[in-house]
Amino acid sequence: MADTYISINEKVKADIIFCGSGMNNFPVAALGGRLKYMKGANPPDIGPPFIVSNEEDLNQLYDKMENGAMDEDPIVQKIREATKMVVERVGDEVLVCMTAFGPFTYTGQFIGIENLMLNLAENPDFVHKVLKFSNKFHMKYYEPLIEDGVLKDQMVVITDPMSAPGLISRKSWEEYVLPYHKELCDYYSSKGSYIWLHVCGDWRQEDRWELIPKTGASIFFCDPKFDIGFAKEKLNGKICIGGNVDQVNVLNLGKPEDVKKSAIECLKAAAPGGGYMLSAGCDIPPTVPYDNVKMLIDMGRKTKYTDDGDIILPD
Amino acid sequence: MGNEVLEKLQEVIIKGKRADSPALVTQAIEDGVDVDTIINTMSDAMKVVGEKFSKGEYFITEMLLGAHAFKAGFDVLRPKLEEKVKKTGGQSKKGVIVLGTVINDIHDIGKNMVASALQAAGFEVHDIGIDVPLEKFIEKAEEVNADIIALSALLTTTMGETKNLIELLKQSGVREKYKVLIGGAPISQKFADAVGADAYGEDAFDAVNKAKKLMGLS
Repeated sequence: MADTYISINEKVKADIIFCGSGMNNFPVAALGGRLKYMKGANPPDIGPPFIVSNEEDLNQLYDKMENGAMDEDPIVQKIREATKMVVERVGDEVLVCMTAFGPFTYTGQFIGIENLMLNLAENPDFVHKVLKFSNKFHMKYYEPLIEDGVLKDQMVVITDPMSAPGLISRKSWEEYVLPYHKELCDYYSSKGSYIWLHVCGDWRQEDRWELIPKTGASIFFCDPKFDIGFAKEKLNGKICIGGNVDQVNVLNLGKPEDVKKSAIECLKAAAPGGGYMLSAGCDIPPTVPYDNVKMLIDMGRKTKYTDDGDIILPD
Repeated sequence: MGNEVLEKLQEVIIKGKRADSPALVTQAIEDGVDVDTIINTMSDAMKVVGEKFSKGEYFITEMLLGAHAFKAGFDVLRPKLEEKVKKTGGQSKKGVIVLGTVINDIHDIGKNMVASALQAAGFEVHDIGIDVPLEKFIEKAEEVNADIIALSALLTTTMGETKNLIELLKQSGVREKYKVLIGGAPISQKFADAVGADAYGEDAFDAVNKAKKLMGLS
């Protein structure tokens, strides 16, 4: 697995290697979550029946986790090992991440997304209990790499698509997401790791962009559903931002020229003064043409800064 | 409206009190309220839920609660509706829709909300579930003589199935028989145009509007 990551990156020359991408569901499976395998390159998803329907189930899950169910899982072991190997071999040249979902999304996987959404109104105490567990679960997943210092100066990931604007209200985000993200970010920061935060959706809604820096994350990746210029205006100096080249309409459906055009727009809007990483706005589909990926990375690589922080775009 | 039970029924759907809607529908039936009036009341309530969602006052939780409250009431009303259809020899339904989440995709919330919203708007909806092989969509559409095939795909890895379905419809020589309506988080109008779908629904209530358009109703 580590060989694959490293050899692919020798070809595309990205600045970040995301280990375990598409495998965020395996830690849940290690505790008994049911994986639904897909054909082709599609990552498996967690399907029903869900493993937590009451507090008793949750207590059993705590026991399972404390008794090492995740550490004994061969796939979790593999993801952690691969991450460690990538750090050892190229960690000086690139930033290495191991990826995971965030607590709200994991809670959805434990109790079912629909159940989570209904329980926000009908049983909020239970939701908080599962969220608390999900945070412990997140930390447990990273534990060996954090304890050994493997991810020191590297990056931990919180990607929490189920808490997207449009799915839950700002009020719910403040109550059910922000404190849990903050707890995770505080913990990983104290261990010397950077934190990559991504939540899909349009963050202009209800001015909820204000909440992003409060998480304590190092970088926030912006979905193409809103303008990166807006993120730059609101978040500049508060948190590093990344994104938001459209992964479907541009990277998947477009041609290299379209990618170039979109990359230039993002760079012009967000790169001056620094604090910006050029990237796709979310996971890219497996059908994205190689030339489009290459174009995106080349555009970032060829863009230079002047001493004043202005950007010099490539021809 | 002038009927306390119906007013209450509308309120519980809008507020998503799903435990309360069946008893109110039963009460309305017992009071002798016409089934059409009851279903219209419930549909109006769902419209309000949709408007609140569009305005950003409601989110998925409130939409789901509303849809559950609607469905719980609708289940009580269903036998009465069927009875009426038998008596009058058919109802003036807006169209027949086969709906499902594409193969390799097990997301069902959006699809379920679309089903409820379409049902509330008067469509006959055949929900064939999640992770549905493409052939099944066509089989079911043929079986129920559908007007529209509606596909949901929530992943960038599965959204391509919408294109595959359209290809399969062409290969089977039935592309012209059905309108294809698609939706799901990664899907856009541009994507829908690129794969040759007849319409794209941005959310459950947009899907209703698009379905009506496809049927020439608006």
